[in-house]
Amino acid sequence: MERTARDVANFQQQFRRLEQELGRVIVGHGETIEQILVAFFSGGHVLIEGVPGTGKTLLVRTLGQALNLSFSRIQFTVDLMPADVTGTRIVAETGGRREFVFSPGPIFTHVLLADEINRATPKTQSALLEAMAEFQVTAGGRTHVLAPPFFVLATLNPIEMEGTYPLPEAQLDRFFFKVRMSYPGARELQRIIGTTTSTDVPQIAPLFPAETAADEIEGLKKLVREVIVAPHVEEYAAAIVGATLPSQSKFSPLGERLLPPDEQVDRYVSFGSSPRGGQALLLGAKVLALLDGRANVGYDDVERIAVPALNHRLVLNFAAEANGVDARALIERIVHAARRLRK
Amino acid sequence: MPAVPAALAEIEDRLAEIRYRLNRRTLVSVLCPIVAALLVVAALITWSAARGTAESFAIALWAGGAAAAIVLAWGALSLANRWLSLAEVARLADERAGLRERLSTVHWLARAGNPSPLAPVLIVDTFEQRARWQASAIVPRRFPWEIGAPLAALALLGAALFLDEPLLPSLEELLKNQPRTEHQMEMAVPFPPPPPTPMDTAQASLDGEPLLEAASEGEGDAGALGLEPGEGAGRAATSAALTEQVRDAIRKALQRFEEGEGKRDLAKALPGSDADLTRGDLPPQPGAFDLASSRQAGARKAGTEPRPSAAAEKAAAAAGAEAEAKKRGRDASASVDPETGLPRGQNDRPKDDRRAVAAEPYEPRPEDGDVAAMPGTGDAPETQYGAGGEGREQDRPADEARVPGTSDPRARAKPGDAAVAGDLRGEGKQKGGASASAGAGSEGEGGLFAKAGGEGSKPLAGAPKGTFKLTLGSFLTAGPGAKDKGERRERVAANPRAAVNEPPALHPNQSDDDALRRADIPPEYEDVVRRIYSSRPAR
Repeated sequence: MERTARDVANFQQQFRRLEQELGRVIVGHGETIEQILVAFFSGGHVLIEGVPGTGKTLLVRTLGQALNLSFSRIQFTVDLMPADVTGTRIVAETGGRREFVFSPGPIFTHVLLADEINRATPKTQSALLEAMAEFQVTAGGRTHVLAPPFFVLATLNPIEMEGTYPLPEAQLDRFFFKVRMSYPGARELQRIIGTTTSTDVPQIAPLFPAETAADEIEGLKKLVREVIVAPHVEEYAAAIVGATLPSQSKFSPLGERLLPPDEQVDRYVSFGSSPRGGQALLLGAKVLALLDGRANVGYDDVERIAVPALNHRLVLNFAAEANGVDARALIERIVHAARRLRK
Repeated sequence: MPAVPAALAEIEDRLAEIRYRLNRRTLVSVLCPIVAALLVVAALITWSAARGTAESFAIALWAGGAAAAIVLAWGALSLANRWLSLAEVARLADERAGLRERLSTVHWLARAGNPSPLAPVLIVDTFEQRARWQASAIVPRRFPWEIGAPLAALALLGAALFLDEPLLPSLEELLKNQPRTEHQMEMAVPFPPPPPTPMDTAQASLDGEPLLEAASEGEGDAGALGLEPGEGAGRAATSAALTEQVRDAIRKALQRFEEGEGKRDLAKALPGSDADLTRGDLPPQPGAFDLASSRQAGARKAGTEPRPSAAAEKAAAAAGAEAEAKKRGRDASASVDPETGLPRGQNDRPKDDRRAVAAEPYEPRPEDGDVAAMPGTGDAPETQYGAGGEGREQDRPADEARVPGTSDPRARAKPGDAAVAGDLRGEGKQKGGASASAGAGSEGEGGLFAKAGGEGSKPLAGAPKGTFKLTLGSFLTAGPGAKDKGERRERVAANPRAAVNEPPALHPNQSDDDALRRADIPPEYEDVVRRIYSSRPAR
């Protein structure tokens, strides 16, 4: 199907309307909201790292309401079992016969909030892996496909780390973005406490009818994937991802590197980004291109999306923690070095 | 909204136009330095061809060729690196127009045929923004300042081409531009000053002034050659300053004359001299034998020997030896070498060595005082033997001059001793020939390198400007007396050949010298001469 400029304009319009609806409930955090929406339309999942009380749960619920999609929330605890997430088979009486039937867990929804995911055991955390990567759940020997769109928003509490299970790198890699929600500013805090303590609760107007919302959103997600990326832009993204790999690692790629090894990356990075990071880079850049009204990806789109797409994929070593080196700073350094590939 | 194919074609056309402009600018920026460099090389070669020597021209040619090759290679590499393809032009236009990679993506779509559903959207979007990436906006027109370099180089080449300079520098320029150094003085040693040639005499007689008279005045041709008067650089230094080619030409001409060819030519011009000329000797002159023997005797008396460098002196010495042999009843060749005119004892020395001694430039020494600086005798100015360059000795009596061949400046000849005077003349000729040979310039040199229209010389009829003609004239004759000068000058001016054909006449002063030479020399002087020459260190 041949697209027209109207499709691109429609995407822009829906995206901006969604931002506006979320902005009516969530005060501030404009950049975080945009990144979450970018990941949503890219078909990825988002790990939100933030202190309690910053509106993480409200954000996810509002997103579900605005998209007119189903919404679930799982509070991860130490005793949470995988079946509590994916569902389990129970004995049910149907037609006078008792048989095991699958009872879907809370994961069978469009928008899932995995609150404080690092408090669950790795066994339970891994229950999300298949659902997040394959959009399906296997329980009792049977595979159950999750209805699209499926969007996981996990939160990570950086405090109260006792008794928590940090997410393994494999699970972190499955998140499209990792965004950070910090405390609101003074003006934003004033608005938050003002709106949430009054009787005037903002009402969310869904963008799409409930019957067609999933299809509409899938249509927009398909449009995102149709955005054109020229080879030199792909090379630029690949160079950035490849530059996150330490040159001295035994997993370092053989052959030519598009960018020379960075001294700080070699010193502070244990493991670099996987190819999923490159996918996230380009998909997020495509969304940004559409938001800009373009049908092609530019260098700036890749550059803007580099930090949220790669920062949780860099595994830093102890030296980086000791020296206070942040993955974000390393990525910005790599992006700056990659600018010479633009010409 | 334009059709997608039309928009795509329009985009491609515009990209091609931008590429043409960019590559044209690249071409200009690369070719201009190349052309400039090649023109500079051409100018250098031209300049070296016009003003330099053969060696410098060869060096310039090879260096210029190498530089041209390097510049061309650099140009080719630079062009290959900077020559833009359409994809590179599209990326450059994206960057300059802020198109967010629209053009480069469209160009890739057109080449790869990507069937993306959004391709038409992208093409139309890019086309609609064509105002941002017009060729004039991407590559604004500007004056190609790069052509200044080749224009300047062209001017340089033109200047090199149209320089009104002779292909070879003149002798005067060579001498002016090349300061005399010790090295040049050393270089002068292997090339002893040529003896006064008939051409010198004839050329000198053109102006009515004897050649040796001008030379003995201490200035000689030093002024004409750009040297300070009285510098005493000598003909040897002058020869050293010449280019090798000119020096060779001089040497060949002199050698040719000494070998007898010139003398034979001269014999034809001088009547009654066939027998002597066939031996390579000087043409017989009236009383020549007497003159030579008298001179030889004078030299023996003084305990020294006249220098053998002058052919006329050789002939006179040989004639004198023969006459003396007749007198003494023995073979003249036993005591005197007919070739050099030296006693046999001296003739044992290697020829080159003797020439080096004869060509030794005169250098004033403190212990010598004025006496040591006297290459000539007091009465030498009017003689052909007193070709001294300093001329200071003119004010001193001949009997106070240092006895040549001795190292003791206090050694003085007896006053009134005719042999001393004859010897001093010989010494003066010897030293003057080396140290004051610059004095031969205005007259003697003028005979060889006569400038057309120059002072003191007559241009040869039909001779091109800047050339010289070697003419063999009379020699071994003194110049005419003061009375005869005017007449002779007129005759020579009317007919230059008159200087050759006219029978020579002795100068009054030279007649005195002849009288001295005719005096008998005691045999003990010959022993003194032999002892002195054998005790001198070989050089």
